[in-house]
Amino acid sequence: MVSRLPSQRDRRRYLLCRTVPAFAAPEPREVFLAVCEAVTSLWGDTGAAEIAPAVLDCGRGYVVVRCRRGTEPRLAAALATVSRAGEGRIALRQVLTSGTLHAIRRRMQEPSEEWSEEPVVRDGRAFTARRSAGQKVDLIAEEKKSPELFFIQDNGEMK
Amino acid sequence: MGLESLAAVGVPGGEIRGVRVLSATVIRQETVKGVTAALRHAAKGRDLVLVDAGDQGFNRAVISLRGVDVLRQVHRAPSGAFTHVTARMAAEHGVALEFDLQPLVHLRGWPRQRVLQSHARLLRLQRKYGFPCTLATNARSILDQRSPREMAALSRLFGMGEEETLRALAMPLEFAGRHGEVP
Repeated sequence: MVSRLPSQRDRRRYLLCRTVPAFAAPEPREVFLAVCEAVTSLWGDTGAAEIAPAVLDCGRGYVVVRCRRGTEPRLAAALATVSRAGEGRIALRQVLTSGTLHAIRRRMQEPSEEWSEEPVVRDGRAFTARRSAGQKVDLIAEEKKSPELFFIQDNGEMK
Repeated sequence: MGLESLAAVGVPGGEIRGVRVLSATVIRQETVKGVTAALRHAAKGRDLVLVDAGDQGFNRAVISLRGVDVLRQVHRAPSGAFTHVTARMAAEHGVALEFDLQPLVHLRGWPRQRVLQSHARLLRLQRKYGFPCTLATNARSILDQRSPREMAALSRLFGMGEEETLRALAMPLEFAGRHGEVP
């Protein structure tokens, strides 16, 4: 296959998003479907075709989304409406918009510290408490379907 | 996340890791009498007092009450609940109108279109009469919170410009400390 000249290629823009909560590890396909659903729902099929969203990378707490140049404000608005990927609830927090993947990769960082997990029982319900530096403690209810997520302070006070 | 301050319901105000937390209270009453009673008790010592909107008569009465900062959930009120008369009253009394971004995130299809239409109509009134306005995510967890950049992207959907967004985001700080003892 003959590669096209740079001047003939489609101009692309890349959006780097952080996944919230940071320990969420959604499947790339689920993230792609969530992004496509958000874009189509907000801008319609013609708008989605114009934006041409694609999820290039998903992992280590980050998602890289590609779009056509000039459509990034529309993609950014659609990404702000993503609240679920597959079964789990997530949010995509936009960090950087760039024209090169090089700049995106430079900005991606590994999480500074590992998560520590410990079982906690509150009000007769079992939770997993996840703790990381610089963040509150996340309490995840041990239930199979749509577990509830609570945020508490270090002193155990429920927020 | 890029937030300098946020308003939280039911918590004391203060500063947490450089973010100013404003203590807010939400009053949900069906009658003006109920709102007045709630203002006497629940609103004491709060930085921000928000009242859920109702029909037109309710909204006009609430706007003229001393101690009310923000009228919220207007998009859920009956049609005609917030007209040019109410807008003029809000401008005179310095009562802000809340633009709720939560339905833009969580709703899909025609319910979201209705909210966008309502927000666009309220924004037109805001530009004409100049009453204050605020932006809210009504988040119950960090998953519902949105950064100022994302809030700007969402508010652009109903025609709000960047400067208007920044002004709306700064508005709660202007209300902070406005309250003394509510009679």
